Amino acid sequence: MAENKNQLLVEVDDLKTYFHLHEGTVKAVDGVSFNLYKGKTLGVIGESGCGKSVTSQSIMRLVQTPPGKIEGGHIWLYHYNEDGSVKDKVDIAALKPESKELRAIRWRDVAMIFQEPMTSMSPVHTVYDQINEAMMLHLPGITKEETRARTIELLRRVGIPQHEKMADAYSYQLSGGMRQRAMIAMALSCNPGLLIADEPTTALDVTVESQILELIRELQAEYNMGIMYISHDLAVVAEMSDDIMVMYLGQAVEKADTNEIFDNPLHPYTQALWRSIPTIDGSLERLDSIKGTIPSPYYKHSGCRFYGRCEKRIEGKCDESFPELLEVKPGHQVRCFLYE
Amino acid sequence: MNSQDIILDVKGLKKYFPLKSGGLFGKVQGYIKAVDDVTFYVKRGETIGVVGESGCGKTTLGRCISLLYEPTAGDVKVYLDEGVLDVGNMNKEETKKFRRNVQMIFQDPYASLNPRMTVLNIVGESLLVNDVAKGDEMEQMVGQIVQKVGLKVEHLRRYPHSFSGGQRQRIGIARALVINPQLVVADEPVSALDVSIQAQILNQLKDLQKDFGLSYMFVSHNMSVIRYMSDRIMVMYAGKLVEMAPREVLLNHPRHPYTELLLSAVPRVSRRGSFRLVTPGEPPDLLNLPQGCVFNPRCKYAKEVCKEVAPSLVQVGPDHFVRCHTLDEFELKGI
Repeated sequence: MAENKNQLLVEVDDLKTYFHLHEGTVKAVDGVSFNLYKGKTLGVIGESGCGKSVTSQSIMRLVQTPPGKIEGGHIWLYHYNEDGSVKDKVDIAALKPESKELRAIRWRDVAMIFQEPMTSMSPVHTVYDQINEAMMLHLPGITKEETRARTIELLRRVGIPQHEKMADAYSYQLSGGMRQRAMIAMALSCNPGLLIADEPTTALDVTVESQILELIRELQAEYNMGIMYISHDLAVVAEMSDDIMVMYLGQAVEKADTNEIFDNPLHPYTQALWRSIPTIDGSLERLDSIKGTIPSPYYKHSGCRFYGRCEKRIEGKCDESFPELLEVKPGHQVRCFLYE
Repeated sequence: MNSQDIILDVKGLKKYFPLKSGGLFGKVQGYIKAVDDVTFYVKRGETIGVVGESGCGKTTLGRCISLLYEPTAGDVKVYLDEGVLDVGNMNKEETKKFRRNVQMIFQDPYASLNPRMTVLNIVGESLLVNDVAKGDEMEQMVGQIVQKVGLKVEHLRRYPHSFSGGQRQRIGIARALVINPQLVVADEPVSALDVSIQAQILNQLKDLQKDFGLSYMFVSHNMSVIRYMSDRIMVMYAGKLVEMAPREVLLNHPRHPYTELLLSAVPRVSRRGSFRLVTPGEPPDLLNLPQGCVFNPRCKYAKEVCKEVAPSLVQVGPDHFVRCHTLDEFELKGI
């Protein structure tokens, strides 16, 4: 098998996911593009309402229709031949909901772990039942004995003690950390190429969080998965990611590799975000807060979406026209008029 | 210590929750020791940070201090400008005085404000209840404090639902401060807020502390936030206070293995891509606490004695207290 680290797994191109509600249309994701590669992690940072979770749910096609709908763009999923050449590509965004093609992609090509493993696992099925179901559906021809053996092996791999016994436990019998481990085992059950992790450690205690973060990284090295790691926690994303995309109100405002974006942030929102967060080892100077609040999702912007809170705004320009996401130096893209 | 310098003195505080078997007359089968023998003090005008993982008792401790829970045992004294209050033995008058001077800010700004009351009534309620002011005078006082916390007078007639999370937290802060308290217990006041709003609230709390000479007991699970806010830090584990020290001492020269573990686990922007020390294990089940030191099953320094005897809290330096058997035997790593 060709172990190309930079093999393109998913190419998201100008994705638009809108929610049509009584109060108006929420453009939760409004023209977002990015690539996910084998063996690499893309970190997605943003505050509530920035569209980071809807982006990932669009890739998995978990957005409820109605009210949500993918209104534009493509989500290209690539398959490769043994020799590393492209076998085919499928546009996930164009697949019919609940279609066979879509079901074949979930878990096999793209798997997802969520913030709260308690609500994302069934309380009336054992851990084994749930992992078994995923494998039975997505790995045709697999036998019960094989799924049982594989489940126990996965539970051992993700560090669940007494894995044979725990396979028959219910999710409420596990602690938060153990539940997230079981969720990860389930996500890995069909050997996905891409793992989407949507705030997987937000509900966990910090000492348990560090265990789960290390586990995800070990598993990535072992299985050469691509990871899309979504979090509001800068430090977690910094530790986990090769590249980072910062989102604000449905758009990517800045993209670069992890070192570049932390050492040399360009967008005023990214800069302000970096300065507004208390750290364990940085300066103890007064934090710079970002003024104002995140605008209502129904608000119709006539220019840059960060205009109202931006300290570097150019009157007459930023409020009247829309900045594009442009590459201002190799590998570093930013959506801001200051760099045009 | 001179009692002039301290506002709160707590000795041997315990809060046990009984576990009952089912039914109205269920028998008590045991106790959850949410807070177990905690001794500490808060100096006037300082912020003491209380940090720990879920189930460590930090919230219960805060609630005991603000008398939302009645402690099971312990000696709590509050040294106010107008005299000392012995919290275990207060008459009605003294309880009222206590409540005026010790206020609380809550974590969830959505659950802690009554949706059917206007901002004026939410913030003004304690002025009414304590016979401080009513009518126009109350409105004027509420207007002042509301502006002080960064809201507008126009907001007074609105209901909580029309505010964002950050603004609601400001209402909660205004409600705590309007009565001019001396000690404020803040329980995870920024945990429910977006990162760009957190800094606004933290800075606001610091400014108000300076303006009003407040003492804070700041409870949080987030070590980075605790570091930013606190003069001294208390680390709790399974209901016990395991270490208490001035901020820089605790962060740079921790003496308890759990403090070391907690510090190493905090995610850091500066650690990009590098691996960290990971210790197995999870916070213990409070129903089934280990023998001896509560931390011993997760402790990489544990000795035989740790599995048998619970260590007691000893002073190891100025304002520095630790509960550990292996003191001085190992060099622990700070941040």
